[in-house]
Amino acid sequence: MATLRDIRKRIRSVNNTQKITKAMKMVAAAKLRRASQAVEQARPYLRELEGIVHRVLPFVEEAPWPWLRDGEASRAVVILVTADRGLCGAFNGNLFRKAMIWRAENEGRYEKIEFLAVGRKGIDFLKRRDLSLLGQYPGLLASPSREWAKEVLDRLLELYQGGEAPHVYLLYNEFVSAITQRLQMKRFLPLLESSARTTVVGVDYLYEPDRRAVVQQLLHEYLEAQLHLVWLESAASEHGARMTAMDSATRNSGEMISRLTLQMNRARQAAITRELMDIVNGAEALR
Amino acid sequence: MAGKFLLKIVSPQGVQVNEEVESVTAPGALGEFGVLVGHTPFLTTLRAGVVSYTVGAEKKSIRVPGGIAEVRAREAILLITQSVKMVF
Repeated sequence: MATLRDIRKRIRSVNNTQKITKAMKMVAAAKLRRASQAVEQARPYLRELEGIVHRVLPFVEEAPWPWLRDGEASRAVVILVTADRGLCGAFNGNLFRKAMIWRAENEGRYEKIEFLAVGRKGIDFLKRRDLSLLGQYPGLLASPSREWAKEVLDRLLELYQGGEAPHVYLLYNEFVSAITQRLQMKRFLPLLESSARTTVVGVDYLYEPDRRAVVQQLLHEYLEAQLHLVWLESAASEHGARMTAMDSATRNSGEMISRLTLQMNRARQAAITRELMDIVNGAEALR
Repeated sequence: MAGKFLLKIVSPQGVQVNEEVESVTAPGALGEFGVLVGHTPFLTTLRAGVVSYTVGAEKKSIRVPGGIAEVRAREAILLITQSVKMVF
């Protein structure tokens, strides 16, 4: 049976753990506030951009835009956006599971499925599994900047133009609310599924400086903004997931402390009773 | 003719302007262009400069670092690549 001293030691250690989880929760909550604000601000921009792209695309479909070329491909690349650190509940685990399920489901469709990992956890996971990694970006989500979106996009387009990544998918957590994240698996490149072709309505645009230049810039901006928003969504989701996980960890250690305290009091009471009995017995014997 | 149309100026940092205006002037790729209601569909890149617009008798301007603009009959959307500062 645990002695009083052992129990006291346990309580102290659980107490320290609780202090840490509580601090982590507060930090996550503070970061979440900023990250979710960034998401809310960035969403309308992408929404408007998407609107323009959808209105313009019917007019430029015939043009030889490499990003619009659709069709079957033998290779695919999945951009796996995970966190850099753990202690955020099922955040990373859900992504891994989805990645593996998707890979198994699509092995018949693609000869080769490769990954591009954003976030240390994803990199570690893919390396452990010996899966093919085309690029790795650790530490990016600590400050999910536009420059990073540009860098990753440049790499992707390089792969895309080299024929190494004819189909690109995004796998990440979408930020719904502080306590909810939604797993998203989205087609990133090429831009259009062949079924989504729309008929031309209305008058064609006037383009300045010319159609090629402005559409090029529009599509590039669209892809970059999309990646950027994915970073922001993922970062906000991560903080939300960590806050929830640390909150329940704090609650659990609180429960544990009260259970241990009860146990400690019982042990102390038992010790006192034992001592009393010794004294009483001693006195009895002297009579 | 005082027809109004919707002007939206949106940057990755959020919606900067969202209101009914009478006219807009913006720095396009090939020079300044003006927009009134009923403009023909128009797509252009934006250079750094000042976008000004009128709401009633009031004239407002906003500095933009560049971006993309889409103009349609009843709506003008200016997407700008960075956050902007108001200037008057």
